[in-house]
Amino acid sequence: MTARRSWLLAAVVAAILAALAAAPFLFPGVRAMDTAARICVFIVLAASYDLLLGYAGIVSFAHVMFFGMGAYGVALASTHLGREAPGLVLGAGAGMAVAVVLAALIGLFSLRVRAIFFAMITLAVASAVAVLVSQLSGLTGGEDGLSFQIPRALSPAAKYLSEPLTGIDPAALPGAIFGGGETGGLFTEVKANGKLAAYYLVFASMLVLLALMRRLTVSPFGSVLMAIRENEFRAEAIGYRVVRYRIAVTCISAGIAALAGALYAVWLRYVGPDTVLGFPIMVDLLLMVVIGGMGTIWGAVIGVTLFMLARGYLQDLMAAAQGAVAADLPALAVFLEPDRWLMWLGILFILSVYFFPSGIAGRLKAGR
Amino acid sequence: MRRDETETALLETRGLTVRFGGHVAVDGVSCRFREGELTAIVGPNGAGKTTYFNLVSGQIRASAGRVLLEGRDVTRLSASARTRRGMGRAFQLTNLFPGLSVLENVRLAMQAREGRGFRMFSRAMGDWELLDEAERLLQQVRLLSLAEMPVTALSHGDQRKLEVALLMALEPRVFMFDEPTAGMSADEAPHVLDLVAGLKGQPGRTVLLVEHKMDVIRELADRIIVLHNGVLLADGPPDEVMDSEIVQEVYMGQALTDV
Ligand SMILES: Nc1ncnc2c1ncn2[C@@H]1O[C@H](COP(=O)(O)OP(=O)(O)OP(=O)(O)O)[C@@H](O)[C@H]1O
Ligand SMILES: [Mg+2]
Repeated sequence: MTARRSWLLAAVVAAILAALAAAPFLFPGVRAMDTAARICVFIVLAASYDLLLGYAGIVSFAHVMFFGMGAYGVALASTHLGREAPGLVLGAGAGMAVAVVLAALIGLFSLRVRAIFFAMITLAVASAVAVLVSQLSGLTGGEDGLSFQIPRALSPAAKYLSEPLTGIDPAALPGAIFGGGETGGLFTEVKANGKLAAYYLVFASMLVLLALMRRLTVSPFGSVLMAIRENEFRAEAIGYRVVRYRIAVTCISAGIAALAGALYAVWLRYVGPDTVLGFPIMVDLLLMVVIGGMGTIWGAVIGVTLFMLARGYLQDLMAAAQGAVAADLPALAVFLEPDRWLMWLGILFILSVYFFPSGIAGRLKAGR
Repeated sequence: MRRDETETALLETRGLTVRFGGHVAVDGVSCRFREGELTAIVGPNGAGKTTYFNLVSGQIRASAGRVLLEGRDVTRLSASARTRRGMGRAFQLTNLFPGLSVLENVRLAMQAREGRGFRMFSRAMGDWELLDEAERLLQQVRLLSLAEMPVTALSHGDQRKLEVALLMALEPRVFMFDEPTAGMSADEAPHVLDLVAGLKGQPGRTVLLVEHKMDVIRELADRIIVLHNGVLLADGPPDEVMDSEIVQEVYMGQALTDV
């Protein structure tokens, strides 16, 4: 890891974070802001998963379940305790507490044995919880999920300034692919409403949690996690209680995942099994972490951003490309059919794993 | 010149035994290791030397018998618990943290010794006390110039030196070296053996050394124990043991000659 290449990685990450900070003004429009908020939430989720997978070398399939616990915590509290902020905080806290306790129990029960056993237990527990959530429809809303209200200050109805703020409309730029389409000049209005406040709540929480996780990875605790990943046997032999460290990191990552879930619930004002619990999300999460690069928190930032942009805009991109080649190369146009975006995402994934086996962050660090 | 048998040994094994299926790899070994002493453990390949070490440091569980550290029974404790109580082990087959740097390997051992592993909010690389100490140790074992290299980039001989450094970093009371110089070049080995020799005669410490080279043993050891088929065959001062008939027989000229 040369200093120069670390600098390159830092620059890419800084650019992404800066873009997220300015997202409501750089990419106005409901859809762009929604994508940016999802990126923020998933950065927290992916980074916390990387603590487990990349730093400690523990494979878990229950990470999205912990995410869901935070989300359902917020949803249930808002539904039953009302939409005020204390209820929301209580719900997030309760979801987090349940996640941490459950993580500790799974860890105590299975991490003593073998890592593969832990993976299997998490799979079983996550499936059981998913079934439970859809069965207990009286409480959880079942497959339909729960829609709820959040504090007024964070809802679109809340107005903060009499005059709207000014942003840039990239759709007005020449050659633009992204954007809402309604071009009214380069400058556009950004409403200073509760939705904007909610975005910055999500963004600021992401920054704080990311900084916290970064600190954890460079701490003595983080160094022991890497030692355990590299050689569990020797870590034990030089006097570390390996099982305790593993349980601790399992609890920490579960707690942070639950917080990410709580943020997601606040942003969406809705939770449902398909949105915050399902295995498809678990697969997405794995892809994000692997594409970005395991064993570095910054990898999560890069992986999530790429994945979300691809998922959000690949279809648009393909539609544009299809239109461009339709006349001359009808055969190619068939492959660029927007409905095939998932196939292209798969191809992109295979290529990225092939060319960057240590992830994009790993590549940026290692050079060449 | 026999010392008082009632004096508490730093380390003691009583009837230590392990069976693998039907095979008894270590068979009722009783032995006391006193402070300040350097004991060489010899025996032909497959005699059970490494297995005896594994039993003492807790890598494997004994089928019968006991291990006592400063008179306290540690037989049921895990390897990491024994290490925290002062047992230290270097392995015959190099056993490091491959993806991490040389410095980080040593620092991790020191961090374990100081019980600082659970600190979550300070920077590991901000702990100058440990980093300075780690650099001093690397200088001693002549690895300082390679401090930033990942272990995987090291030569076999350098990895062996790091293996020794990890044990030194623990500053244990019981040092267990399992053929520390095997695979080292001829100019590196004496230097590492000097480090081992430097541990002799220190109060509160005892050194166990598995070694095949007889000239090394003659020079370093205060005492030799001989294992054969898991059984303790002989125990005594170097000259006496090496000249005994039984030892000559066991080795049948195999290794027990000056190299
Ligand atoms: N885990 C195990 N399972 C089964 N047999 C084992 C195990 N470990 C060691 N043995 C056997 O126990 C015997 C003693 O092996 P050990 O490695 O202790 O010998 P050693 O004296 O260290 O030999 P060397 O000089 O070659 O290092 C050998 O016959 C070996 O095959
Ligand atoms: Mg051996």
